[in-house]
Amino acid sequence: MSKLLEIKGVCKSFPGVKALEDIDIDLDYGEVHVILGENGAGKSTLMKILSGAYQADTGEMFVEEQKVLHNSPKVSESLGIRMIYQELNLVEELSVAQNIFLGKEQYKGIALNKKQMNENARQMMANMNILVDPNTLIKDLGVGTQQMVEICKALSTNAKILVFDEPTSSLTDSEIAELFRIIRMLKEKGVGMFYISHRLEELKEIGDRVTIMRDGKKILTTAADQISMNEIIEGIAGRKIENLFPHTRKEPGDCLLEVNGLTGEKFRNVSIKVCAGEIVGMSGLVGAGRTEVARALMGIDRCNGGEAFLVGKPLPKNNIQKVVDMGLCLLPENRKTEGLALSLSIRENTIISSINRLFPGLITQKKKESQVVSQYVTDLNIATSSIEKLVQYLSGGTQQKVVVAKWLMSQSKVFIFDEPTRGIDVGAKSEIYRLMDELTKQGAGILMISSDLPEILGMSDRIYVMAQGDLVGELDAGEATQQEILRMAFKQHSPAVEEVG
Amino acid sequence: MKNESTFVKKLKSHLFNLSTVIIFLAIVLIFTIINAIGGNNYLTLSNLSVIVNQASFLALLGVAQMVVLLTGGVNLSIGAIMVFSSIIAGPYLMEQSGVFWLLPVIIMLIFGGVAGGFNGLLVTKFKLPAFIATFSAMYIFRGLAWIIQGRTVIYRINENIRFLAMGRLFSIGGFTVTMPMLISIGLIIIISFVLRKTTFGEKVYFTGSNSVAARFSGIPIHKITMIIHILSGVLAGFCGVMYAARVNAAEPGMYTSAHFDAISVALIGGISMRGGFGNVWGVAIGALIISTIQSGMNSIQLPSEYQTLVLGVLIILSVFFNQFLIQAKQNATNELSTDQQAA
Repeated sequence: MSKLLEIKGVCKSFPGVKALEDIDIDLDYGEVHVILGENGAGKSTLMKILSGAYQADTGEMFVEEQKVLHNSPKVSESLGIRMIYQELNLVEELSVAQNIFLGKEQYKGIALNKKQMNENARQMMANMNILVDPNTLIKDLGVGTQQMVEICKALSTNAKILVFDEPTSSLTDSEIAELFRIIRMLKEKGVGMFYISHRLEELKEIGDRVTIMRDGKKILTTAADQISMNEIIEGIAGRKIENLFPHTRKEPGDCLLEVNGLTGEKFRNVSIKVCAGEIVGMSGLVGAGRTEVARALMGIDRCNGGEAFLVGKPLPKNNIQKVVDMGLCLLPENRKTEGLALSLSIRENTIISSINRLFPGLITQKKKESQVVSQYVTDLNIATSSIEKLVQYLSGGTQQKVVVAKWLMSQSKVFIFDEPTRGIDVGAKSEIYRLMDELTKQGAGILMISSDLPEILGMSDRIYVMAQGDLVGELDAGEATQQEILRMAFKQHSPAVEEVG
Repeated sequence: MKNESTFVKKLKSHLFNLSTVIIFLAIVLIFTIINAIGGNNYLTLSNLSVIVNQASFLALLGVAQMVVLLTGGVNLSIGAIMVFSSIIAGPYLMEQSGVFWLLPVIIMLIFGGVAGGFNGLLVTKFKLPAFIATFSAMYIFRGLAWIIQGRTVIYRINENIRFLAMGRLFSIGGFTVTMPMLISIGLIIIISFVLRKTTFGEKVYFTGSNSVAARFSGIPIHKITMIIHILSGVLAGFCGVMYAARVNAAEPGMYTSAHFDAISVALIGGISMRGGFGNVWGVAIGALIISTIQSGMNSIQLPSEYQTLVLGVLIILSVFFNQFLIQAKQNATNELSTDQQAA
């Protein structure tokens, strides 16, 4: 049988870096080909060559046995190649229908045929079993639905090859299940798909073949059911990773954070506690109100009722500085937009929450700053050539460590991690987990908001589940199962329960 | 081999740090050559002294603008604050009032600060973008100046105050050291110290780079923004002192383009409009560049119509060149790990 796509001997160099070395890869009709590798392994570069965003230095590419000369974004589009990026490419201020038909609007005479486009968009979304008003603005939709719109947009033209770049990194499990249903539907139609993900458990569920890349080289390509999880992890990391979730459970210490009946705009009556040495997982669907609880605790958003105590002292409301000073900190999901000043150095980002304490006389000493920061950089094993390196040039995992270093230095007692490993590759993930475990050993408490169930089950001592703004359950990590958590998370959410069941 | 390349990289990175200096030297060179072709000597000490003296005033304006730019804002009301504070202090500014010269100066600094505080309130409490807040403040303060002063002119400024802007101290060769030079250098050293060596300065840069992350890190971003706007206002008030002293008068309609000059100086000096990037020494060089361009164009007797046009083009080129050099610098220091990030 002929191949849908063949890439042979592709090399690509950037000044100072060999991004791809002699890569061969192919794709069959109706196949899901999973590509795995750490950040910097060359996955995205390869996909950019496929889409024509980059030109390969050497190598050939065939689509349906036709050699592709001079690939460009235009050419690849005409060949039916579509990318679905990790960072969605939708116009937030436009509606679902407008986005789907962006650049290929339908006309009635010279006027836009809005009615027709809306109807078509609705139909297309309905075909994927997504009920959404095509007039809804993208910014009003959840990330999961946005992703569906993006897929819909790709399919609205004659797509033969789809590339998913980390499609599930911001989706909840039910949304992922939905995405997989659509991927299976596309397979039936003969669409070939490359699927890049950091979530290894997805591979077995959806992948036909898997290719592992490392340092710009192809390590192996094999059928997905022929390879064990350990082999995969070793292939990606290039070394053995003993235990992905290193958290050692022990008796919790004193209660550090106690929240009683906290109520805000998007959540009601939330009572939780976090003790010293504990990792408390907070699970639920995206939009269940978990991030909002964290923001209210930090004093970022207003809350309407309830109270919270940190080491017995009441936490002030709407006063982030005080909350931070008392020792509660948030490691936000969006590190780049909420956690870090990207145009500043590791030193400046690490020191920022501690400068008042370090320099009570207002006058700073760069030498002292460098010493202190270097200490944390060494302790946390932050991979960098210099502490003056700008944070924007660091990988996701290293960036996360810089945020941890900042809060560690400011002597925080309770760390709220919001999706701690989103977009972070396997090797770095295990380091973040080890770091979290280390924090608890030193007596800190951790509240971990996560949509990644294996992460929740693997790392938590106790698990809270939220659904639609309510705290619907508390589970001991020993007795919790994925099914149990999901069942709780879908409470009062009946339509979705049917889909999952 | 590897050591050598890191050495070259370091050298390059330091060289790029001097990007604005390079632009400055290039412009001096261009005018020197053009003048030499015409048989004139441009690069004389006395001529340099004129350029630096003129630049000293521009640098003050530039610093007033740059502190706000650092936090990601902008101050369009600098000229209006200059005028407003001059008019408030007007009666005491005049030679005939007979009050101690420091009194009107202090009044102007205070009212400059009050006006800056007004901007700060609009930005922090009423959540207006700095552009809109200071844009409307520009009309408000100039309007107030018109209402208070009407169509009259404050004339003959106190001689002691005039000395601040016109005083010549001593000459080295043909280079005359003036009061504005000393004042500017002093102020730049102070501001540089505040921005680089204090906890406040670090918070300013962090807020400018990412105000959300700053807030989440426990930085009182509203307080920082407020202080910065007050500081900008005080500096604008001081620019008012210097300007009135130089022209020996003050009236509501004067120097309507001050905020533009201030932005030009800061931009050419490598300050980013997006905030969190640039330093005060860059502003000094930016002022030197503009003043060199102006004096250079005068030296080759370019008609004033052309001068305005050329100035505009040169600003674009300098900013462009500057951006290019900054990018090159970041690439050199960060060894192109960008690709690692992208992949």
